[in-house]
Amino acid sequence: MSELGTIVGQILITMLSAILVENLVLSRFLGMCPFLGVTQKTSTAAGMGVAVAAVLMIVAALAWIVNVTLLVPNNLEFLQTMSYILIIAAVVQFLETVLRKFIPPLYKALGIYLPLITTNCAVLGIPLINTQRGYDFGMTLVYTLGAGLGFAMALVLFSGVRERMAKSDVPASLQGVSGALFAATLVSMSFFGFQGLFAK
Amino acid sequence: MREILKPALVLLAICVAIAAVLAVVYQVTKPIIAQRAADDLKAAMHAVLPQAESFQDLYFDDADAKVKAFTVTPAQAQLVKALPVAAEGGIQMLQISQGKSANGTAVGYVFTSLSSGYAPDGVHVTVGIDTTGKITGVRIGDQNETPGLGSKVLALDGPYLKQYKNLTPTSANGSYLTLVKNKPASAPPEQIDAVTGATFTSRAVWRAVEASVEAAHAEMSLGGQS
Amino acid sequence: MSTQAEVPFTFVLPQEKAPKPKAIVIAGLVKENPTLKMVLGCCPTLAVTTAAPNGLGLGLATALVLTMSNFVISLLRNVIPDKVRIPSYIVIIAGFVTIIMYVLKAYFPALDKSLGIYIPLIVANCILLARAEMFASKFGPFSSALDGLAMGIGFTIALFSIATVREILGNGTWFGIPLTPHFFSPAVLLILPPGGFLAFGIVMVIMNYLTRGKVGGDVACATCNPDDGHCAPDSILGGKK
Repeated sequence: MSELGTIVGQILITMLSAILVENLVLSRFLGMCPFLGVTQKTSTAAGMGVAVAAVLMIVAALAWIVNVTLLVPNNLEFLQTMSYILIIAAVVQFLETVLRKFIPPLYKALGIYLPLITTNCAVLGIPLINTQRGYDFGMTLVYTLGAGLGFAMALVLFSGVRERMAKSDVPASLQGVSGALFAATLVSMSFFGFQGLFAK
Repeated sequence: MREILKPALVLLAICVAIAAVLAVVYQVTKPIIAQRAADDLKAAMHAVLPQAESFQDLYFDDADAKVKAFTVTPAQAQLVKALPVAAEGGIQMLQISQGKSANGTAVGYVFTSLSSGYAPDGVHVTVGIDTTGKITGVRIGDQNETPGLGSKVLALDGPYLKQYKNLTPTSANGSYLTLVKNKPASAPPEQIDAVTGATFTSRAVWRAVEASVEAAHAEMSLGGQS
Repeated sequence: MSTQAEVPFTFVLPQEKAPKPKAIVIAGLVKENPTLKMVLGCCPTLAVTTAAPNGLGLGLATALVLTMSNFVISLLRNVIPDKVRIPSYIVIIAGFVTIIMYVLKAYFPALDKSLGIYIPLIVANCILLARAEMFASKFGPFSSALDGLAMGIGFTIALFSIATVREILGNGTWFGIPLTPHFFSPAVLLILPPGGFLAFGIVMVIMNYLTRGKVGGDVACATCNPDDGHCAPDSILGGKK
């Protein structure tokens, strides 16, 4: 019983810390580009967030399998980065084709974001972090889910801020990316408050 | 058919060529990287236990013995290993080495542990303790703490780490050293003053030292002075 | 991908000649500076600029990879079939990144430790794929290598300047050497995550002011489609319908 409690606690802590403490965008600076690029509207931010979170899960799982079954037993660790990025490119291409053919409504909603994911460093960064930390398969999924949710949450929250900013009278030099960066400073600062959450 | 086959073959050829180049680079750099890691470790151990000339690993392959010497239970040790942010008792002892003088007599121990502080990846703490139980040095290795705040604690000759040097702590009420905030000048040296604004990192280091002292006492009472 | 790839890229007119070397250098350093003008590769710009040596180190590593990958991709530009263009570029880039990673681990371990995961993440830096697609796949190997070098140096200058400001104001040091007098207490915020956004925001405001317009506008790399080098339709950007 207590063992089960420990496991559940461990899962919860890992997940929450991935969402709040180590937020991909706001404290690790991964996936900056979509964070600044597609957060003008909440609907698009949510679409991008969901697309990235979904691709992340598939990529992280495949990367773990490839790493543990192919690379590590054969002393091929030096191919990690290369295999991971190929997995990402393949998954993105595959999802695009399959969604377009079989689930057109979903493709309409998420399809436009898919090609942008290939060069999203969050999608490459998470498998690399999982490998570095030596997570087992279960922990890989838990941490990746948390990271994806954290990413989507940051994008949606930030798009809210930017929608309001768009309605205000902002000086010319502060429009666009520069103004967004100042807003991001404040959002990031509020997330910084979570830093001590699990430290004892 | 040709239209599908040719691109696939070209891509495959590129992959194979790159993989071959990487294999060569990996083989060339591997011994250099391994040597560097070994040198770094030796330098870190020598820094905390200067009187030792050579070091011999203890318990390095025996996971059970490693855990036995500590109050951390195997289950906790397992948990700590997997947790990104450690729970209470988040010390993972990575290595215990015995330092020997030039003529081969044991002069002390070096404990390398991973302690979780503010940041998820924690701090590596190397503690040197001589055979009388005196702390000969505390050093911080890899750390992923917040730059600035945590770094104050980690400065090698900084006031925080200096507090530990040359203490010979004895057990009182189950602990050897205590961590306090805003330590008054009259307090005994066994009270370690936490760095303001970096309490978590201070605590992570203190816990690692505490675990190392405990391990040293356990080791010495087991007659490990041979 | 297949339908879009048939549309010729419109940025370069149907001329075959590469730009003059001087034009390439000016474009990389100033006119099309990847960080300050195109707002590409923002992740490392924010993440590793907490200390000057880190900014310089990652900038130079990226420049080196970019020069070599541009050179090789340009050499192979007539061999690589259009269909597998993107995966081929990615594999070549990943190869050079891994080489740099092991060289750093072997000879510059301190730099490798402080840059950590951001070294392998050079692969996902959009500057590399963007230059492969926009330049190396069209022009000769030497022009392409020069383009890579110029863009890389432009990126390094941006990273190094931001890192210098952050380290001096946030930590009171430069390359680890204490600079500020004792009565000055450094604003630690600048080397914490929020400070990354703040410092980059200030730089962008200055750039906006100097160029009297929106730098890069909202077209960050997220909107650059690696499949065809085009930018995403306005409907994604939420600007015009």
